[in-house]
Amino acid sequence: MKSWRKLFDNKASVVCLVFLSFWVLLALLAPVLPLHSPIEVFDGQQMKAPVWAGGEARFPLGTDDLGRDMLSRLANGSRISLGFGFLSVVVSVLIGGTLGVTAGFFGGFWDRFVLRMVDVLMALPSLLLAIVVVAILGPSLWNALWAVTLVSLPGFIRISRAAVLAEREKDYVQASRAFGAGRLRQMVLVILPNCTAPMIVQASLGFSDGILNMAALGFLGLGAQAPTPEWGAMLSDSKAYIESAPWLVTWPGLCILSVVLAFNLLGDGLRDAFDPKI
Amino acid sequence: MKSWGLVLLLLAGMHARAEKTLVYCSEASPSTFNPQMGEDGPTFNASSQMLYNRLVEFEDGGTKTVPGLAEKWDISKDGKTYTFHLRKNATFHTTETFKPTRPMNADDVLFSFNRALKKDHPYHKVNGGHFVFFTGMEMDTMIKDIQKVDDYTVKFVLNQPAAPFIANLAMSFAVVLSKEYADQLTKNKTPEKIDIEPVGTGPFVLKRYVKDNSIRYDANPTYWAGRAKLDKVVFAITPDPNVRFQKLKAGECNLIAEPAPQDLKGISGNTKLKLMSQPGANVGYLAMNVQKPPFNKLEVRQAIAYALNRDNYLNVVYQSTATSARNPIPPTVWANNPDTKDYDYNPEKAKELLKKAGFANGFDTEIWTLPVSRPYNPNGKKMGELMQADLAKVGIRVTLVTYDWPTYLSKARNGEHQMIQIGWTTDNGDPDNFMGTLLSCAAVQGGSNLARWCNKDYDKIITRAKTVSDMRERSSQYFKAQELFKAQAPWVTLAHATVFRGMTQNVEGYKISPLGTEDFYPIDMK
Amino acid sequence: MGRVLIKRLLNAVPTLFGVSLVAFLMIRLIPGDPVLLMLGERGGSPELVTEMRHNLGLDLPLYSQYFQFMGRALRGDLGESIISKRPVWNEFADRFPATVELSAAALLWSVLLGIPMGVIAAVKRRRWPDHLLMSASLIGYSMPIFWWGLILIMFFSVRLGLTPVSGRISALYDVEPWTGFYLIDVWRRGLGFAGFWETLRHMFLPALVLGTIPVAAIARMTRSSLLEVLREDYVRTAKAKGLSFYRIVFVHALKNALLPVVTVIGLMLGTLLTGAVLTETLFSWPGVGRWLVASVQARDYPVLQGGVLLLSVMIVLVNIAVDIYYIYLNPRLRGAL
Repeated sequence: MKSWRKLFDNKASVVCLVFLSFWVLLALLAPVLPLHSPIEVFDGQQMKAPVWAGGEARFPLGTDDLGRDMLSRLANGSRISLGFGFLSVVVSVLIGGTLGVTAGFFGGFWDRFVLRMVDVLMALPSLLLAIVVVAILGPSLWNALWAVTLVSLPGFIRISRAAVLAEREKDYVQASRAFGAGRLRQMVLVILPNCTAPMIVQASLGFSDGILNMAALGFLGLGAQAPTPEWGAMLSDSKAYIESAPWLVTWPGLCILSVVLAFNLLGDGLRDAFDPKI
Repeated sequence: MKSWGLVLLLLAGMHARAEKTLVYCSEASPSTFNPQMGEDGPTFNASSQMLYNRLVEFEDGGTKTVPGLAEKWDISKDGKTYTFHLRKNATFHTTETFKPTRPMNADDVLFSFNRALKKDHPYHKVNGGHFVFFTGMEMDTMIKDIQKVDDYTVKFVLNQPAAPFIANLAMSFAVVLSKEYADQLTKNKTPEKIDIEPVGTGPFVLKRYVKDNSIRYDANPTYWAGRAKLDKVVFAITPDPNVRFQKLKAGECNLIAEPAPQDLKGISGNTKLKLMSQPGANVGYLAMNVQKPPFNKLEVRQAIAYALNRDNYLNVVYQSTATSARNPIPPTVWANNPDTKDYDYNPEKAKELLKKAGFANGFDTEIWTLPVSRPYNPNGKKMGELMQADLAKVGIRVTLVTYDWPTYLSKARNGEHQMIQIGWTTDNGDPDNFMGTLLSCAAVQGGSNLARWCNKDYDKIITRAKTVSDMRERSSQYFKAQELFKAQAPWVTLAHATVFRGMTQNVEGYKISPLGTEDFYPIDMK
Repeated sequence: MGRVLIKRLLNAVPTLFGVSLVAFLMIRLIPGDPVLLMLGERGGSPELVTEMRHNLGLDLPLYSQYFQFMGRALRGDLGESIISKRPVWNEFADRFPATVELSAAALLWSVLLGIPMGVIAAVKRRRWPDHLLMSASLIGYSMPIFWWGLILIMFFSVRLGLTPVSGRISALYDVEPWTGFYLIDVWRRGLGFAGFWETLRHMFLPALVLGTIPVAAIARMTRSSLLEVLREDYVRTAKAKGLSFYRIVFVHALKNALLPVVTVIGLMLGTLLTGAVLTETLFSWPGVGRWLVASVQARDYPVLQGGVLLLSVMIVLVNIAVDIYYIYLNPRLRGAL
């Protein structure tokens, strides 16, 4: 608990937490907020400028090239980026954590096998690997999720495995073994809680990687498909209008950057709080 | 630093001034350098007018036929025999690997047409043996025999009189290749080079091609109509229309293909650039595959026609530069029926019709969206999203699907689609080139009828319209056919787009062809 | 040294085996019959299907398919692209120099900027230059570079009209491929300075974009590595001896602090290739990344298979090289082996 207090003493981390809470709230509430539908096309309202640049109050952040409300698309886009980022982290923690912890705990052949898998996954640059997965499964939001998750696995496996190896030799584990604790019991009750700190740090960084990779796939046309308001896909649709409607390009990018930045900063803060060595 | 920049600029300037080089930013790589085997604009543009000639040509910027490699021709009384008198001063290109020893003559004409016509011709099967347009324009059933009368006279014998024959010969595919070159390749056992390292009689010689990057041409110094005013032409292959525009502004291109509608103002408002436009002889449409349910039901097709807000597409996708399409035939081609009853935008009526067809709750379907910008539809994806939103309002749930351009075309030809965005620019300015080529029962087999709609009554009308020679009679038949077509609604007709070209101020003498072909021979640069 | 090299190479064998297995299974994991999928549109007669099946080795049992695939791959035969009908190897070789040239430029500027940034931040630890530089590098690290590229295009190309937006050189310059590196090839045909300058202008924005994340990573790594070294005994001794702080930093500490930075730079290859996919797509740069994305869209599976195999083998080999270089540079580890 000392670590958490330390985290809350760090101003940057607190700002990030507040900022991210705002995004999470927005994502959760987007369907009930008084917004236009993100896919409703307003005839004759294409590429309207934001309200301070001469646009209308109906569309505070302007409209896109088809006449859809930017504010609503960005808000609903947060549901996708944060939601799928969250899913990707949860799945990675579950699968990566299980593989890493078991590899570290049991060692031997299983350990070597898992490490090999990690090596193979890491032999390809993350985005390329994701592209290959999408190539096999076909472009869609869900397939992009699997791709992004697979790509993030090695990090989670290695972190949890290293944590288990470090904990395994400590006195309390040796002690519980001396008292005849079963292997599974040992793993679940004794070692696991002590591995959570590095996993939390990794999860925060995994969030930012996941969001960036999902957006990148969307940008390449391999992720979310029309008319889904995904930030990366919105960017790729708007690149033809950098001259005539620069705000179309500006907003989604700022959203991605701010969320990813917040998760990275938070990750740094978490690391400082939990692991003063670095 | 500044003076350095100036020196460099001067160097660059001198480099450009020494020769007249035109850089044309084109949309896509050609699939071959032999237009006989081509089927898309980028392929024809890179080969047909640049490298070759035909017996007959379309006049520059028009649809009238004028002499080409044939100085003149006679037609027999029964309309079945065409005798062409060839010009004697046309020579083939000299390239790194080929030096012609004689001018173009009757042997070359026979070689070129027999290659496509005769299945046992030694070059028929080389590089695939698909002569798409030759077959598509029914030249294979039209021509009975081709005879050499003497070195400079060739006789085409037809099975029956065919009014469009001369116009067909002026089309991009009907080029004359060198038999001497083919013989040399046969001897070297490299026949496939005939379509890859092309030799023609045209105004430019191919110098180098780098796939997905550039095509370089030099002026043909011995061109029979006189050396081109340009010394070099470079095709810079640039698929993204916005990038083409940026390159035009930066002076990296002198002429760009199909500027995007949102960039038109940027071109016309720039003093260094100029914008040319012309109403296109084209039609963009949404075809519904009537062989696949629920599009076999007339009510469903009509409901979709009522559900789409086409005026909105004209504003958003074409930025109000196109006219609404009522018929398959554009108003620039004769026999366009201005009184066909059109479907207005009426979602209520659409819902009613869907209910009547048994789809009160709508259905799930696909729309294939164009992967490239074409003259008749500058942005398929954008239009697809609008259609998706419109159809959602009447309960039809649409997934947008797309493939790369060649895959898209060939999958569509196989009828794998449900609804598909597509369009057409006429090759010869004849109404049959829309009504027959795109909608006849035969075209279902051929693959160009993407609605796969075969209506016996309709077929009877257009067959009659094709065989009679009286223009007024033909016209009235096509009027009837258009009404029938519209009532049956195999397509939703969308737009007849205006064709635009952007260029730098120093490009002179360029004309937009209504047939969609590019001709750089008349261009000069100041 | 030789023993280390052999050991590392042997260690890489299982990884390479795994990678080749992934590339091999790719085509077989596609839902549906890969041959019909490849032909799909073109229909294809039954004979053609059989022929293609045979050419791809799909008519053999799985294990012999794998041996056949590997046998061919080892001889440099990676099959043919479905779209261009050219050998995958040739297609790769045509595009690879473009990617290398761009990546090298990006790496160069990120090293030249990143290391000084890190040094300044470490020296001025907890003071404003540190905060400023580390904030900047964190932003760079979090940057969606495809967006960053668009913003730079908006500013440099559209607003100021300074830099071109796509390609490696203006089509006016007839560069004959020789080494594939345009900065070299332009000299060959007498395009001279003008051509060289054109190439640099075209490279400017893509290299800037591609180098953004490496700059941030290098700056962060240099800072933390230098700080760590500054805490070590010999630095303290030097301090005690009364050497000036800057002398200690630049003469003694930096040399050692840069060791892990070298490793990071070596391992940055993966980041660069990931970035190259996005940067090349954005700037129509005719490199490997754009080629692979295009082949996903065209469903050109042999290209994907070959490209993935080549790139991953390359990365594994580079990682080994970095490892060995690191050991070679680090006397403490040298003893250990």
